[in-house]
Amino acid sequence: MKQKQFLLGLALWSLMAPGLLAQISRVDLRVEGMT
Amino acid sequence: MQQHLQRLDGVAKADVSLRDGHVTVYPKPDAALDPYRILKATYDSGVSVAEMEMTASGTIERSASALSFRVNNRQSFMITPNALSEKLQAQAPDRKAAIRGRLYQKPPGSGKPKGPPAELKLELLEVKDAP
Repeated sequence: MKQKQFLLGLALWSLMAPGLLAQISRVDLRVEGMT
Repeated sequence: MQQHLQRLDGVAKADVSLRDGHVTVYPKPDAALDPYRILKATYDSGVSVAEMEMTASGTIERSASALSFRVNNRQSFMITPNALSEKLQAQAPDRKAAIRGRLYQKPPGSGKPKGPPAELKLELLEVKDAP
């Protein structure tokens, strides 16, 4: 699932940024104790 | 927690799933996300972080003894050695790449940590050559 998301994100990023637009495109957290 | 995260510089949106405890943070266009601030803001909102990953593009740089991943002039992360980094160590010294990597994992069996670690190191999970 994460690999699919990664590849999809990469494909979108490739379309939107012909050059190298260096950036953090997302941050994922798994948290505990959330209500 | 969502409000805490969305107040941070550079954050466009924070999706929070209460059901599975998953949070995804997206940047504003042309803005930089700061993973350390995201981790700290999450702790400050009263929840414990089990794991944090980032998806990013930048340059994998090789020095004599270690690899690092540079996102821009202000953001660089030391890479924790693993099988993937060992493969990269043998390749070109500087390489533009899109990566997915783990920046934080809660130490096993230590109860609830008091806060985020002083420094985030990157464990590479996936690497693709940048176009």
